[in-house]
Order: sequence, then C-alpha cells, then structure tokens
Amino acid sequence: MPSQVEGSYAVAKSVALCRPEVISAYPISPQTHIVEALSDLVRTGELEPCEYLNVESEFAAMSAAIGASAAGARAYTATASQGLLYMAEALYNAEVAKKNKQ
Amino acid sequence: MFQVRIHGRGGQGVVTAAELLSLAAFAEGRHAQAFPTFGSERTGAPVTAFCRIHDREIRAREPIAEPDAVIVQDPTLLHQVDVFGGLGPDGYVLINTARSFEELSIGEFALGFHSERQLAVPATEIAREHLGRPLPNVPLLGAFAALTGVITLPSVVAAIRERFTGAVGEGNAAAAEAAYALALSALGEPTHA
Repeated sequence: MPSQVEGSYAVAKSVALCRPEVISAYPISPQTHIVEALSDLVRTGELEPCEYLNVESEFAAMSAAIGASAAGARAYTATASQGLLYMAEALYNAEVAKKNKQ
Repeated sequence: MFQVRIHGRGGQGVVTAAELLSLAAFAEGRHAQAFPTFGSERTGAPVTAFCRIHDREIRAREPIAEPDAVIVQDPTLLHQVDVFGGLGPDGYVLINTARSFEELSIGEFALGFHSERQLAVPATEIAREHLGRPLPNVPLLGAFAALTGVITLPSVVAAIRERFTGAVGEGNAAAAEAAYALALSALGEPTHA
C-alpha cells in the first residue's frame, strides 16, 4: 500500500533504518523537518540507542559528528544552504579524519 | 496533469495548502507532489507554493511557470507579484477577498478568462468564524474543490483530518465545508464576468 509523506520525513525514516547512535542537529530550512522527525523517533524510543544533541551551530553539528565517529559511533547530521557554508571548515576535518582511519 | 500555483504571505499557510492539496489528490488514488519556493523566510513576505496532480508518475520537479489554476491567498499581492504569470485562457483563478474583481482593479484582466472559472471567496472571514484565526488556506481549498472539481470536498476534509487533530482539525474541516458551500452558490449565480 503506497503512502505519501513529506520528503524530509522520508529522509528521516531512511536515516533511522541505518541505526545512527549519535545525531547532532541545528535547524535550517529546508532541512529542519529531517532532524525534527529524527528527534521524534529518538524521543519515542523508536530509534534506540541514540544520543540526540542540540548544538549551537552547523560547525558544532559536524564537529560533534566527527567526535562521535572518532569514538566509534555511527553519527548523522543534516544541513542546507548557509548552514553548509558554515559547516565547511569541519567538512575538511571529517574527510581527513576518515582518510587517516583507513 | 493539473498544475496549481498558490500565492500568499509568510504565516498564511501557503506551504500547508499545497501539501494538503497533494494529500487530497493522493487520497483519490492520483499522483501528487507539493513544494514551496525557499526565499528569505519571514512573516508577511510573499510566498509561493506549487502542487501537481496527475494520473501517472510525475517526473517534473521545477517550479510551475504555466499553471492551470492560481490561488491567491492575499489580494494585496495582486499588484505586487505576477500572480497570474503563465496562466492560460482556460485557467482557473481563485482569490481570497470579500470584494469583487472590479473592486480589486482586475475586472478588465478577468475578461480574458472564462467567467465560471473565476471566484472570489472571503476565506479569511470564514476561517475567523470557524477556526478563530485568520488563516485563509484551508477554506480556499474547499472553494477550490467547488470551482475546479479536480478534487472532491471529502478528500479535502480527509486530508485536513490527517494533518490536524482535535479542535484544530474540526475547525478547519468546518471552514472548508463552509467555503465549499459558499463557492457552489456563488458559481450558481455568477456576479462577475
């Protein structure tokens, strides 16, 4: 039976199926509904175990994901537009950290 | 494919209107998509949202430049934004206003369209009465069902109840039904042409 859901909600459900253990979030349209839906899944226990972090910026969101990943957890965050720009510095950090691991 | 473009202002539920319209169409077994434009978002800023309804899978993802119907949630946009841009001579025009097309200074423009495909509905007043808040989006969907027949009133009401629960859902459903009835009677005796 097909159903119709908002694209952001479909993304959140797909992410939840990947069983992330840490999600760091900072809101920005049009991404906000993704992390909102994920926070609901964590709150209701549907996505467990998972640590949901409200951080203070996109830079912090990616940094928290890097830190969680370095400690061995599967991490997720989402952003868009200006948020991605503010996340840019941490993106390089994440990429290099991944290479160093391999 | 039937393409609808909705114009309004931030805070009037433009994005929600497009989403509800797509839910209503989907409930009738059709393919539907809805999405807004993303500008600098703030209350009162002009907002545009789109809805496509089709019997087959919809592959288009771009904004709607040539709509089959235009819904204007805020008549103050009429002379600010090109709300009728790309609308063909067979297009539908639905405007939230208690005034006539002549009073809005678009009487002459309206002559280029079928008179039975134009409708003015006081959606803000209807929302105030049934919902207690001046949100014109849902009553306009009720009027849209009456004007175009593209979706039915029961589908609109089902979409409303799917999205909103409790008193908000009931108030919105009542507002849609009231606007539908008002639109049907207005279309029965055209007051503008």
